[in-house]
Amino acid sequence: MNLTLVPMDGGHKSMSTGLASYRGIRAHHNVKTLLASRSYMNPPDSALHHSCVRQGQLIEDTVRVFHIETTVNNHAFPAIANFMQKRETDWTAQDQAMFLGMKQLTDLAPPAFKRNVFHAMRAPYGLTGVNAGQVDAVHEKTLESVRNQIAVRVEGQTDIVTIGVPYLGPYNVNAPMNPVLVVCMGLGYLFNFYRNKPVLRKGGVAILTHPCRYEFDAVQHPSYIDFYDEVLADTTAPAEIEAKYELRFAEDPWFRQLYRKSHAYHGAHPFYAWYWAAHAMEHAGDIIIVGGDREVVHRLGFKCATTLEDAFEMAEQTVGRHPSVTHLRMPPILLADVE
Amino acid sequence: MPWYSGDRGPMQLASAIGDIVNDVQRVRRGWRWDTPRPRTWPEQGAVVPTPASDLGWARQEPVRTIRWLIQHGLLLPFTEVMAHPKVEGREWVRELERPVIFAANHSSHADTSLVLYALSDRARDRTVVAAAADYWYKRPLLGNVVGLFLNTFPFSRTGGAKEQLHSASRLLKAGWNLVFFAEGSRSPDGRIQEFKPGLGFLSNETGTPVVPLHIRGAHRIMPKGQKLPLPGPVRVRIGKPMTAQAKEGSREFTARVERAVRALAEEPRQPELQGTWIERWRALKPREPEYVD
Repeated sequence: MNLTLVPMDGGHKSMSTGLASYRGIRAHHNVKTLLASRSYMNPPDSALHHSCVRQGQLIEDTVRVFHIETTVNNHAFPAIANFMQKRETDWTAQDQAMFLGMKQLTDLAPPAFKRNVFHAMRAPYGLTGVNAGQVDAVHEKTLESVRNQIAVRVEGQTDIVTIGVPYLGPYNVNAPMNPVLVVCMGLGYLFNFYRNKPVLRKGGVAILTHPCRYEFDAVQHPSYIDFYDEVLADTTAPAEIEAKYELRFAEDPWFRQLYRKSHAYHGAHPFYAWYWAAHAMEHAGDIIIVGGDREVVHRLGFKCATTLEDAFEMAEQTVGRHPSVTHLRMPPILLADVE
Repeated sequence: MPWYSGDRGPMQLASAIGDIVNDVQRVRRGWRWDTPRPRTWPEQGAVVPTPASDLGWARQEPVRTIRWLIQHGLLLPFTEVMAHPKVEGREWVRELERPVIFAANHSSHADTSLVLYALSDRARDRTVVAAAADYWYKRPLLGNVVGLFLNTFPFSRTGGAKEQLHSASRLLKAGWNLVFFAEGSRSPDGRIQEFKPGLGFLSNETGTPVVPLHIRGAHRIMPKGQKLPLPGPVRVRIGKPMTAQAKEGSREFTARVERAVRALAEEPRQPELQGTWIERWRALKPREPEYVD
């Protein structure tokens, strides 16, 4: 049973990732496979999915699998935050006022309070489809309806792409989005929402906005803390990290204990979060985070800017004086179909 | 540097105010009263109407705490002063194991506060009141204020039965007790009117017990048509929880509940409705939460 929000999810990946052990997941969640996935949000061009399909076919040969997949619409915010899923040009007077109020809240309130408010919002999703049966047949239908919903035609690549990193990702429910997850979300998921070719041209500049505080949830993300403090202090190159540190973290008895008996993510989880961004790091000429904590951003290996204007000034060195700029406005989730 | 970082001072305050002024100016520059629709877009077709709000905010924190304060500081003392209610059979609702429907007779606006007064703190905190959507929610402000004070939700008296009872059954399934006036409207002369079968349907559908409840004297406090309440004595009698028997239909069960409420109105104690002494004593026993592995 799977809820498919984005084309990356569902199909054989549900079984071969969702129910697999570390050794099974390692076969496709590695730097080499992820670099060959252009992008993993588009399964036909994704080495990750090809590997998952091979594993899934092996599973289907051995056990009977009955797959149920559901799709939902993109109604991600309740009425109070409805403006966040609309284009600014479509804002009503009420939306504009809500924006002003929400901006004051996020400016003035302490981070923990803001997080509680935002995490308390429940998405009033509506069901758009339920498909059940054989995995491939079901997934094909699901993908079709998801693509119909999120595909957006984009003309050509751009020199600079700006991405606002949201407060919530798949791995920080009721927890702060720590710096490693910011990278995973911004450069992993959001950057990879494309088909054919990336929105950003090779060597362009990716500009992200996020406060990037040094804050971790000690219960859910214990391995992330060590990953940040120990691994990123040494290197930020995904391939090097994979060779040098991954196995040690994955087999660490304490992380194993926390994963099995507590509510922690697996010891290897921060590594996969980092590899997720490998493609973007290799593709982009420069990565700038606006509004981030300077020390943290430097630890992540990126540049830090105070305002968006400063970020554009900094990008000038890489892409020249008159670059083209594209803003990926999410939510709602979109899949850029780049021509 | 934000104010919560510890560096407080006139400069921080000035910069915070400056930021707010900047934001207001920026929004004002781009302000629009209408929403333009690009010409290239196709004609707007029929859309699914947004469902009416069920006042979900009123059942969340911090509203629940605010309501607790309002009820304990204002509503319950006022009820005590006005009616000095005598509550019988409180042991049945002192510690409820699962959600129940309180089915009471309805002769006055004071009924809701009297029912809430009769409940234990714990039960009251988990109780919602079905309020007529076409009466209380015609004016949004009034509806929201009533929702804040009494934890009501809009209950439509028109339309199909399924549609009407959907939000109520969802709340029951979510663990809320429900105060339900099955007569559908206040009685014009204080006598009990016929109960509508929706009560039995709701109970059968969700498998929820019904607690019959009779309020005597509320009609004298604030009868239909009177604007201000007058003091007067009130008795609230709570009966033993009832459940529908096997193969008992909604209508039959509703009729049985109605008979029970009528019986509670009679003067002497009703052993079959209010229980024998041993049953009442057992109902008083505090229930410890049990955690099973």
